[in-house]
Amino acid sequence: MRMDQYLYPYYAADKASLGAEKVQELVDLLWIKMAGVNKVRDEGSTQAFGGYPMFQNIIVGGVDRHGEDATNELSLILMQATANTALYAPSLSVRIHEGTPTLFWKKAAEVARLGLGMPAWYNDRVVIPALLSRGLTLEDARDYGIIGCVEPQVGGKTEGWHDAAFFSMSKVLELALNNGYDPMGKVQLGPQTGSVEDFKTFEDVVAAYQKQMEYFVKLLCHSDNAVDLAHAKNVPLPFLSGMVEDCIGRGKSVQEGGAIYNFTGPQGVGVANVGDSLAAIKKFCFDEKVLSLPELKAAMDKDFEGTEELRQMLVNRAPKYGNDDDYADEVAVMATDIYCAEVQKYRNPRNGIFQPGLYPVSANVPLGCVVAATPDGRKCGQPLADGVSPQGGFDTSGPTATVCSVAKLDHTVASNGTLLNQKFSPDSLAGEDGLQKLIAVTDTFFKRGGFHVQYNVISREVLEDAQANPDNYKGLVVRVAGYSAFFTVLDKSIQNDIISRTEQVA
Amino acid sequence: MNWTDKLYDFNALQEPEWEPRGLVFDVQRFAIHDGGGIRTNVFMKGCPLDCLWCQNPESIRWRQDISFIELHCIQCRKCVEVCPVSAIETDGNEQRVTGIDRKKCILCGACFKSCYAGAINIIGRWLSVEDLVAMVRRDSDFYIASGGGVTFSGGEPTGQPKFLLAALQAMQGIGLHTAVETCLHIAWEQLEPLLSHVNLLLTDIKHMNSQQHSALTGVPNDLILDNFRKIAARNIPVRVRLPLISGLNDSTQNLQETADLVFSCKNVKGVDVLPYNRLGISKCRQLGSEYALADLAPPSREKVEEAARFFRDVVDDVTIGGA
Repeated sequence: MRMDQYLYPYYAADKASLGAEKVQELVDLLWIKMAGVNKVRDEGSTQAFGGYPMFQNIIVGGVDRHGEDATNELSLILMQATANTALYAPSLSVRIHEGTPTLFWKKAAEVARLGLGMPAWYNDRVVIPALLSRGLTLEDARDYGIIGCVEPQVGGKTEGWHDAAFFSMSKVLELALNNGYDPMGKVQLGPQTGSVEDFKTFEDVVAAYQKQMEYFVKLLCHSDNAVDLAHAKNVPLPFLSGMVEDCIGRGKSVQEGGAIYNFTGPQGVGVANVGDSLAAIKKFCFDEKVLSLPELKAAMDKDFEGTEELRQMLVNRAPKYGNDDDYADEVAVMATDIYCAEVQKYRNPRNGIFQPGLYPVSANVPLGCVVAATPDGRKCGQPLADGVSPQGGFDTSGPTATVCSVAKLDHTVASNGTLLNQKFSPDSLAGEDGLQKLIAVTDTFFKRGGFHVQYNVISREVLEDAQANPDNYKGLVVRVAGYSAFFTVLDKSIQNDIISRTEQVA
Repeated sequence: MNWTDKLYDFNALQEPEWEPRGLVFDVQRFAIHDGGGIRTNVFMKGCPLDCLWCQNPESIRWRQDISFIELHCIQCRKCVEVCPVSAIETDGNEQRVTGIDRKKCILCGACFKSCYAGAINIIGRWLSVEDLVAMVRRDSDFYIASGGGVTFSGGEPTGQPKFLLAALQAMQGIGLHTAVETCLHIAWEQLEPLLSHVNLLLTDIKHMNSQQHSALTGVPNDLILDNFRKIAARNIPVRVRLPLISGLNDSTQNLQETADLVFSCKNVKGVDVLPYNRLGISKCRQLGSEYALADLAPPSREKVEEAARFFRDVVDDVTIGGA
């Protein structure tokens, strides 16, 4: 939550007697303490929540309850603590608004450049209207923090159940192309919405996807509500409820609807896969008619065994989400809107509403295990794309194109949070000029309606992995010298040069 | 409009009737070392020089080229089927596709069109200024936020003067900062009309000795240095780029003379030392051509720093790798 806000009065009272160095040390020690906590999870959860995340998410900056800039000295000290400790926890987030001071932007960019994947950046211009549209008061919406990965909520007043489900949009499309039959589980899972032989237009395909979506989102929401009721009855949380307004006033636990704001937030996973798959179908099967849908389906059923040429066509000749290609992006936006529109129809038993999110934690990997080959050329069992990021290897036009694509999604409707991972090579962020580039990409993404972004700086390990598994890294651009190039098409000796250089720079 | 739209627009393979037309082989977004800020680089085909160390050998010829990346080939043999002149090379047993016979190839593009794996590519697409502006302006917001713009590179962009002039005017017309990376080996009468539409020139000084310059690049440096001084007299902002090639142009004398030249020209805003890299090796292989410096190693970090020091004495802004 907003630590730079609630600790500020204490900091202001003590800073003179403690001195700057001691203050920083105390915060650094707190960070180390927070990284020392772990939680034992079951096997499924360890897959969906890879690493050891505790989701203690500290956010700094943004506007205050009156809409004024809330940045203070502590905002910068807390960011510095993440730089000093270089640990994976606690999670550090920053809020950006029109009036964010340059000093704050720069500090956040400096920390991002260290390659810790932090801070995560949030856009007040999208998050505040998103929360307003879900019934928060203006003052509360302005006072949001982040819980878990990317979920905005106002602390102390909300029971958000933000990880209510990881929902595979890609599976829904698979069922739409199989008349409701699950080719992996070998069972009729969904309603019969027509077989590929029946689809005469692209709209027919989308209509089947829509019907499968309606059916499965309804199942999802009913299941969530059953779990919600069971939690309220069997595992109430009285201590937590004592901390959340207005549980005591209403005499109800958080599970019974004691909180002021109540939500259920299931995540759609596979934005890029569904977008790229539908774009390939639209282009090849209907616009250009170079391939019939049953032919494509037959190739997918065999996991492209014996049809590698066809798979290469799907991979290299179809437009791909994440490259600022309007054809692909419009399809991805449409397919995602269908998911979000369905989710927000439902209410939960705590007198709250369902709100969709678009982030996977690491569930895109296990969810990919149960989806067969897809029309984007992805093979059976391969991971789905993470969050609203493009599919790895398909983002071949650079970070500016990627953020342009991602900003085309409706991030306001996905009020439970969206997640974009973006990679940079260390040399692209070097120097004062490098900070300005990072800021320019973030600022432009936010002005166009992005919700969240976080940056990874490519490490030696990533480059070595790219050398071993080039297919996963087709979009990885590195600086050779006066020229940038795709890493995977470089000669091995040059790749080695760059790998050794990366070590020196990073 | 994006570069990928043109890449697979088979009409863009044919040289059109209309003017101004440009033969371009890549439009790269998020270029960040070629003139400041976030930029889009337009790579134009054709170069009057033939430097031994060229890292973009696909840029040299004034016409299209064909490349073959063996790593991407899935051996579907479609190219063998469709080639009208039997220019696809296979190994002895005709089992594996191994390359393209450039002497036979007529650059018709049939193999490229059928190569879904992306192993065969035709290098160079014909663009109109309108298409190029549509591609470049997509990142306008990023240029403004970062102090970037558009950079024409190559190849040698001034080698297509009609197209370059129209493109520069159009880019400035929509408020973009323009940079041109040029070797300056071009008649002053052709260069001069371009200059009023260029905000920044990126210029290589490859060697100060004309004879050496000839041996390394195929042309003497008289015209280049002459143009360089004329540009200085006009006070047009320049970044000097020095490709640092071990044993060929890194002598103390050459570095000192280059630094002296920089010092004497007050329009030089900075110097970029570009250490030799071996990018050209694999590209030459993909083009089926010989690479002249196959055994040369990139200079050590210390050597590069040493070279940079010559310029730090005469100008504030010195980078290694470009800015």
